[in-house]
Amino acid sequence: MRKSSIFRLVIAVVLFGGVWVAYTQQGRPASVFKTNKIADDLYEIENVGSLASNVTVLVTDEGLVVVDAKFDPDHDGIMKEIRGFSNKPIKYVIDTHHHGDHTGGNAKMFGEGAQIISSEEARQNMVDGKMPGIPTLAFEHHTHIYLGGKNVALYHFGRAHTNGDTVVLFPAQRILAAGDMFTNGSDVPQLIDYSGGGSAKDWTTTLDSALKLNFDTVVPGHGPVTKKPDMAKFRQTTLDVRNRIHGMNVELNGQKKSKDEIRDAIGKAMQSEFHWGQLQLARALDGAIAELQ
Amino acid sequence: MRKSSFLKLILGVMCTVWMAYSQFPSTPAKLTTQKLADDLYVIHNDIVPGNTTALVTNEGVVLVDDKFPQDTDNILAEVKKFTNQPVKYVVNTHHHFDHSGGNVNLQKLGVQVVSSAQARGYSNDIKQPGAANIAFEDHMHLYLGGKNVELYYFGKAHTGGDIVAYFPAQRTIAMGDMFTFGAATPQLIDYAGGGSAKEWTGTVGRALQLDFDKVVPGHGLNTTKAELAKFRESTITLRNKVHQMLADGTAKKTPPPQLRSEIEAMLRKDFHFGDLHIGASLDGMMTELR
Repeated sequence: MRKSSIFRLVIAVVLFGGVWVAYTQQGRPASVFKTNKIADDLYEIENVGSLASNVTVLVTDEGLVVVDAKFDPDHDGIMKEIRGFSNKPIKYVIDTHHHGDHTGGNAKMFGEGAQIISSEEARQNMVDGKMPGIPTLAFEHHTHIYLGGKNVALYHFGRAHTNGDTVVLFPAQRILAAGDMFTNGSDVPQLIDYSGGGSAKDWTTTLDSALKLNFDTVVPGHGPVTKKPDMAKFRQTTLDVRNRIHGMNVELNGQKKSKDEIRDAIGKAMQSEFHWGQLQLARALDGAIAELQ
Repeated sequence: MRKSSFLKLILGVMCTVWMAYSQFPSTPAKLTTQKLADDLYVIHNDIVPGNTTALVTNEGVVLVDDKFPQDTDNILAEVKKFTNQPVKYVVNTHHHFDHSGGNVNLQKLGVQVVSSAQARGYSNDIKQPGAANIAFEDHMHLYLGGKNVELYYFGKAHTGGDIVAYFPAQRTIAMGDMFTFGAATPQLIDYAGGGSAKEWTGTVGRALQLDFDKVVPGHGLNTTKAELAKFRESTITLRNKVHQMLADGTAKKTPPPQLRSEIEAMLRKDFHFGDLHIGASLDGMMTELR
């Protein structure tokens, strides 16, 4: 019992360190970027070998709309990539949620003269976390940005990765920037950030709302750009995760297993069956076990 | 014969409304500024165009409504009298040009224009310049220099895109034309712009649930929450009166043109309606309030 407590404490410290590194810019090597043209006027800036998020850029005659801003030290690299396809000023930055790998560049984007906009929940998370570059505009449910004759539609459908997730629809391009509500690839598994208001239970229905939008191509929060059916598959995974955790909760409680035993078993199952890493376990395991009783 | 006179009537009404909302006077309005709080001012003028509210922060100024295009210079001159901060945002309470006419001038200065999604749609329908940069549904929060302005769409009233701008710290609300104060500016239901006499009462009712003391009407002098509540009552009185006359007239088989004339006379006499209000509201009310 005592041994297990110490073991858990050690694990917690290690995991916390991992999360802290993942979500802040500390101790992180400079990212290498690659720009992909996904429509005539729409670009995605991915990074090679780093945890920073994907960036989506809409080009208009009157300026640029940027979705997510990676970490603070990534700013110059992002700007260099952008200047490779447009010399227009950055007019708007949309934060899909509050995490530092998506909002770390906000302060420097303010310096570029951009308006920064997020859901009210994401903004509140940034205020609570005393994060830099807090958005000046915060919406509820749905808002539109108009620039250079083009239209960008922002939706906050409910809880998923956090309580403040926004998806960004480019209607004319039929492209959706999904933020971390959809991450693509086994190296970036679903991450339910309970401390940031995330919910495994609500995630599926939030994705259902997003999937009702009209789009063909989707930019995930992390991982390669893909097509809508892959996002529908990811939705199925969110259901599978829920069912697995709930099923194991019911089964192991029925066998009168201890809390630690249940936690270990579910953690192992998530690792082997759903590719959860330390970050996912640290952020999501206890919350998911509690939510999916 | 009847058909053609009806057509003429419709054309006449459309012209009146169009002139009232698009053909603004060539001379700018004479502006005066009233201080509502340490950081909140109203840039006022007689009757038309609408009031402008200004929140001052150490990162810039938020304006609510920006009058006609020829008033922009004078608005900025008034702002200069109380702050050197630049205007960063202008909120349009609705799409009418006496509230949004300054948009183009201000956008050239880098100001962001925010409206409801509905107001932006109505503005585009009549091909008005200076459409909003950001158009929201339901509720938007604007944060600047540690202060906040809460924007709410509560439903139809004066138009189908009315919003209110709420300043929580100052316990003040800017109502747009959902609330006009004084006999010179009676209630105007712009049916062509999505307005509704029936929904107006509930829309104002939702605004009244916010926590505030001071009220900036769309037109008229600053006043109190109690006066706004009275105005809400008057929207019910108006509806009931028109509905009753319609019901009575139908029962007595009064010919529709005669009934229309009787209701028009009542609105002019009891509710201070002018040509503009009759033109924009009467036929819509006769359909909606049956």
